[in-house]
Amino acid sequence: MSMLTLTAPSVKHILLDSLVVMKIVKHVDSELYSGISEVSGESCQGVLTGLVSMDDHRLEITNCFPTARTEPVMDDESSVQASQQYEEQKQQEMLDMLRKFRTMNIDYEIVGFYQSHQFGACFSQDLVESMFDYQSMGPENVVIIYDPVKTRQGQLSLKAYRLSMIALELASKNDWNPEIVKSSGLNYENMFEELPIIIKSSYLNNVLMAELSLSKGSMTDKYAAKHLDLGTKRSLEKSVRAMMTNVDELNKSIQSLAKYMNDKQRHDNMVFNITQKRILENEQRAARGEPLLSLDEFKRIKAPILQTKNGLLDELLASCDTQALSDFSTSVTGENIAKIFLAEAVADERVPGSKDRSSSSVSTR
Amino acid sequence: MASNMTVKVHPVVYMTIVDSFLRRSKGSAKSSGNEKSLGTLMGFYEKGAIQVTNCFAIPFNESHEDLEIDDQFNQQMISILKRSSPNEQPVGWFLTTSDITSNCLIYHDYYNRVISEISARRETPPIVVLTLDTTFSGDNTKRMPVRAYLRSKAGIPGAPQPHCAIFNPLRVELDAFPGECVAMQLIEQALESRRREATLESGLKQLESSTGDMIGWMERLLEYVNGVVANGEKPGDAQFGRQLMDIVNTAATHLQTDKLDTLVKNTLRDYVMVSYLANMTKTQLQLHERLVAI
Repeated sequence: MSMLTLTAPSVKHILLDSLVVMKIVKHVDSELYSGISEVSGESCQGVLTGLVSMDDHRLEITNCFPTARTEPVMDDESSVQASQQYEEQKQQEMLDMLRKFRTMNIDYEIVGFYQSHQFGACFSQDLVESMFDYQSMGPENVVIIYDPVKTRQGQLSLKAYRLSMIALELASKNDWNPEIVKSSGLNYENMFEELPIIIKSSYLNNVLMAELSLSKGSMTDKYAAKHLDLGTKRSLEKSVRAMMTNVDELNKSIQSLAKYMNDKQRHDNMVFNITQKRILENEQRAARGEPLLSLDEFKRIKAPILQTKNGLLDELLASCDTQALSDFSTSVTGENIAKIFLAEAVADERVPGSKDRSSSSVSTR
Repeated sequence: MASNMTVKVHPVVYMTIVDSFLRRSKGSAKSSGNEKSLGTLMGFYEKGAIQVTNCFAIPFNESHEDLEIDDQFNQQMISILKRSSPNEQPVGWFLTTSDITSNCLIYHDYYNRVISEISARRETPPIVVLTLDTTFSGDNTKRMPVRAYLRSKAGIPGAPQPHCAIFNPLRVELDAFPGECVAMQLIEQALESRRREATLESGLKQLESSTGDMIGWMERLLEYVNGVVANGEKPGDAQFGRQLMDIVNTAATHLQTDKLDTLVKNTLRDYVMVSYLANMTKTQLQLHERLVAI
């Protein structure tokens, strides 16, 4: 693992084909429609393909395909084997799909993957691991996070992330020891880099969109004004709830971190004291002409370990999640307050004006 | 077979067809390519409608004397797609053409066989043909019409074998899941821009633009109403008037002053609270980061 050379990415922004946008949205929506995701509660995933245009520092994502969802994992022997087989089959299918893309003249270079997450709070250990895998495969690879909740509220939400170089280096060592993380200067704000997304349509696609907007049915109009909906309390409630759990997590990890700091300090003091003592003793011995005692045995005293599984990683990810959730909440509340004022303004104007206007129209008819 | 069925096509299907048409293999010296693209439609059956939710293009060749379709490719794709979205099954096929040719009969026979093999029922479900005219020829140089057909057999009664087949046109509707509508709205912005690009906009900007739209519509309505009622320049339309009345009624029932007052009072407080909490969380995060960094 450590032999991997990590090259710094050069891509500055992402050009997303409108086909990819629709495919991602469709994938998630059809799962919601058929109720699969409610049962398994998993997020939808897929692979992005496209090409890197080095001159313009831009990543063009021109197509994508969904990957089969992971089967629920059980612990007994046979299912472990089955899930292994399943993984192999999944890999095989991915290669098959890429080969098929090549036959159909579609770009077949993998440039990342996409996932759907409510409120865009996607940061988990799995994500970091798969991001690391992808980014060590190709330095320009990204992950696109799609937020179905926000989209259903009338605002398409896609975000492109990649691990920053610092995080990538730490992930390659897979060591999230507090000392190392601190010395590398990693914090939750510079762990992930967000890239701007531009959505691009082809000429023929524009013709198609114009054609479709001519023949729009009632189905599509129903959702046209979704972003003016006043009733987004429920999702906000969920978001705040998730925020609370995340803050709890964070507090837990802070506590363990504080405990670790205490232990560490005590340990350092202790080692320092004994070494000082030994040095003094050695000086006396040297004065007396006796052989010196070694200092090595103190180094073997075990340093305390942080009581979480992944060192600081959990804490960082919880911070990222909380950040995303609080961003969601602030933006939604801001919009909702604006909407309420809008509604109030409409009502205020209506009350004095509407009565005489409606009565006049009745009288003339 | 019912020919009063509606074909409900999702936008992603059209976009995939267009994309596959753009990426069709151009004819080279060795092998002549197609000027069309052909593929399988995936979806599911509803009562009185066929939902087409996904599709993919397959390699084929009709420049030779006999037609070629890559059957293996098709079958593999169907099974892969079935695993990623189990509720979809093949429901038909598409071709980018301006009209149905005799070749279509052979394609249809092929798909008939494929689908009847896959579907568990004894009777073959109806198979749709969707055509997208990308030629821009004839009298529709400015349009890109979409048509759907269902094949039915025809012949003289009493004859053991039907004599011919008729492709009956079906009604095509655009259908979309809620998320798809939202995404489509955004993509439509690319129509306006010179570089065919659309950017994700923030919620407040979106609100602003739709408020602007609403004001524009209101002004147009006002102009119309004034034109009819006050000046008498335009002829009145009873249906239009009724619709306007409906709008006024909905506004009156949905935005009652006392209702709105309570709404504003209660929810505003909630929102301010939530935003306060969110901001506090952010502050805590920053504080925490400083503590870790010490």
